[in-house]
Amino acid sequence: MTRGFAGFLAMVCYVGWISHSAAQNLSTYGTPGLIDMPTAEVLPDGHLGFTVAGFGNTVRGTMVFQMLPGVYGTFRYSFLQDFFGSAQPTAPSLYDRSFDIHFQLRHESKKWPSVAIGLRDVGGTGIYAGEYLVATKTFADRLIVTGGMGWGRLASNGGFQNPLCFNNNRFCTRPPSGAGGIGGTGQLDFGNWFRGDAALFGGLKYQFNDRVALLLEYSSDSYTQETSRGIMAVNSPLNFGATYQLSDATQLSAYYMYGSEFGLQLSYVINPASPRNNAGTENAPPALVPVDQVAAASWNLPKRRPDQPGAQQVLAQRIKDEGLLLEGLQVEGGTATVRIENFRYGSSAQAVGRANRALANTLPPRIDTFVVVLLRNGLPITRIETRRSDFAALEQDIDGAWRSLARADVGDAFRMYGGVLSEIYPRFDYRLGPYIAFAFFDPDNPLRGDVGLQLNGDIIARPGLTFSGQLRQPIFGNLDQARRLSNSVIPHVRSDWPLYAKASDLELSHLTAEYIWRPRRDFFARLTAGYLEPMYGGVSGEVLWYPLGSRLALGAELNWTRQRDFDMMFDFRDYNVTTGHASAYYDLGSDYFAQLDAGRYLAGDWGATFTLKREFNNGFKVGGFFTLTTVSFEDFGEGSFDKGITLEVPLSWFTGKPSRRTVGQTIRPILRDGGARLIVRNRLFDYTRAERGPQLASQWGRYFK
Amino acid sequence: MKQAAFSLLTCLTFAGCSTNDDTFSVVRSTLLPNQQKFDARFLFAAGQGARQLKLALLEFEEGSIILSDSSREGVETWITADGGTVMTRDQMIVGLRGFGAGLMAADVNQSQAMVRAGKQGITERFHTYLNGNDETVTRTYRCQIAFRGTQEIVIGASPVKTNLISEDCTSLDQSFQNLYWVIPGNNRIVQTSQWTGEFIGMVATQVVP
Repeated sequence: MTRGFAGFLAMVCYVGWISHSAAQNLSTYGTPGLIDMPTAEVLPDGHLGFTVAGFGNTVRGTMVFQMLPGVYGTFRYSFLQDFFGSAQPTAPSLYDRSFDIHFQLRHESKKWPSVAIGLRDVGGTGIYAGEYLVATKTFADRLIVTGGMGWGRLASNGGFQNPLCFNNNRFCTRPPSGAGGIGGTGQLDFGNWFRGDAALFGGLKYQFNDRVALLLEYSSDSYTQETSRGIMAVNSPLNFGATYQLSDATQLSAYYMYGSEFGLQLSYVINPASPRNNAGTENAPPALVPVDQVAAASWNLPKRRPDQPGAQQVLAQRIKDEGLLLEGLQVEGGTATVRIENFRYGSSAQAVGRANRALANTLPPRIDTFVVVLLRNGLPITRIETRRSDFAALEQDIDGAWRSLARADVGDAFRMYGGVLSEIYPRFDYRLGPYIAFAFFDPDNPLRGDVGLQLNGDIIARPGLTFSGQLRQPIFGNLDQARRLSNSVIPHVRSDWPLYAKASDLELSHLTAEYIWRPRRDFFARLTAGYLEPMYGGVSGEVLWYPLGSRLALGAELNWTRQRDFDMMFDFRDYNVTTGHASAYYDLGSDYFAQLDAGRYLAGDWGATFTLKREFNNGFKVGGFFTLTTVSFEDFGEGSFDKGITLEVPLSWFTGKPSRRTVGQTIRPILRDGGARLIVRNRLFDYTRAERGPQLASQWGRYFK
Repeated sequence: MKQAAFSLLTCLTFAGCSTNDDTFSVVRSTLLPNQQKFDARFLFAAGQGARQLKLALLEFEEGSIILSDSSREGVETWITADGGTVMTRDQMIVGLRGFGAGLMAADVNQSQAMVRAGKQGITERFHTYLNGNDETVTRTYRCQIAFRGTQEIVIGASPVKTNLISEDCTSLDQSFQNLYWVIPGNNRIVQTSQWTGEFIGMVATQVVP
């Protein structure tokens, strides 16, 4: 099961509204290609594509991501109706998850074609397993010719002896895919790749005009399994298709395939670096007022009427108007230090810019230096010191943002707790709204979900000390109708999720006391106790070393946890476990981020999780992870080990309005018990990163926005 | 029952509430763009009788009156009814905020000086854009300022005789033409058509007497 953030479905629907990228033909497998056959093409770097294709008894839904300029990866979910037929009368259809990877070995040049090598269905059941070497060349800007050689499924039509077999006998025969049965899925079939017979495939794409393209291909796939089970007929290896570009991002394709089937496909490709609202449509910041006008403002005059607000009140209101909270103000000599909480801006640099503008438009001219301390629930994270004269001089400068960063003094805000306004604590925050939770890939119903009402409440008693709770009331949905109960042979630390859905009504998602503090410079610490997450309660402690602007951060976490009762209220079950991880976080540059978490997981297994993400500067993130632990592939069960894909999109990416919220989803092929980690709120790296990490500087372009 | 629950959730999507979280208002304003209110600063400026400027986004076929909000060191900031701002220097646009367009700054000093002096010749101008990936990009343009004859235009209800000045700018991969209608004698710009970047494109302005 994968439970998502509220709003994800709405945002997926909303995708119809958003951005756009260059047209690119995607095949029924969701990858750059013709109809069923791949080409050597790739998407533009960083682009993300979604397709749904249907023909005969087959439906394929795919997400493809161009993770590097020459490398794309694909996750596919396929439905083959009546694949098992009467052999499995209770579940006659096949729901199949598969991953592909494609490497472009050389770009197309004026004389030579692009060349690529690819693997289909690596680590799945192997029903689509095949490899290819393919070349593609464009002629006269309109005709794209592709020819290639396939192995595995891509050699099931017109196969001949594998050329690689010529000098190496082990390439002559191909072991059957998925030989290990369902328990063997998830493992890479290295031993199959490029083995057995090979076959040739090829095709043409003719760009008739800006919107219409015609496709013709010779397929080397004979759909052996489908035809032998009688769910498809293959009368011809030739496929015909036409595509119509509905918009920059959307393409509709129609096919006549294998002399027997008509097919339809909808493709959607976006560029995460280019949201529909470009740089955003938030309200402009207030104009910077000439300093003599600020000096003459009523709150800065030596004698003001008692009913007129003072500078602190005016400043607090102006900062509030910008979606910030003024928690503290100290004036010493010519320096004003403000402690602010940013509730609105995904970019901390923009929050600092807005705060500095409020300071410049409010405080008397004798204040020549502004220090903004960025807080999270009162915890001081980073301080930014700016000369007032620099802010005024650079506001209209052609390179104002970067010059202002160069002139700013950015430092650790360790121990900067001073000047807290008396009315700030305790602070009560609440949020009441809808939520959506999903569970994917149940063969009985591949998309399950609940929609309901969610209430969050936080009491921030003092800086860093937070009492927090969340209640959920499902209103309608079908999570509780999941019938497939866990067959796991290791402790059921996650796989009993249907029992939680069935037994609960009103859910207490979490109820915690949490203290986050700064034990010393560059360090953060967290202690959380209570009902930590829907399935576990206990005590969690964490320490993080995170020097300002550092690419590297290191953390350690220790948790004593006990499994909660299925009703998700106050009772516990008998199972308890001590877990913990040492974590390394590293910004690889060029939009890439890596994380390694090594330690003990909820089932008592030891191992490590490796995460790699492509993180766009605007906060859009696409990533993948896998976990290997002491739980054997056999004991893990279907899927062999835990792995998945993550997608995080800032709300502002959809709306154009600033927001700190993201919508996201983790997609796991299957949720089992091995490599399962406690889900504790406010892990320190993510908690401090926006104010601490390199992105504070990399988003400085928004400083004057 | 299900219908009532659905109605409740729909209602909550639009009426969800929070102390410090803008999410619901952001979603509301996005899904119901016509429900947006006038910006408070615009209303304040209107109440103060602020100077007006006509603004039209030519490629979006939208036009409105914008109001002078502030002036500092030769740059005048104009505010739109929905909270965007346009920054001008002698009617030459040097910045936009809140339009989705990322024109963060423009150095128009050479073109401004030449137009105000009533001269023709070559200038350089610089634009800095903020793109959707939160990166700023500065572009340099080489521009030709030329006199295009006289034109009578209508400002308010009155015909006004103007000189039409063009500014043809090119960079390695972009080109655009700005037009300025100036009063003969003092060379004050009273009407313009200016390029503000690929996102918003051409913007027209006209002073309001």
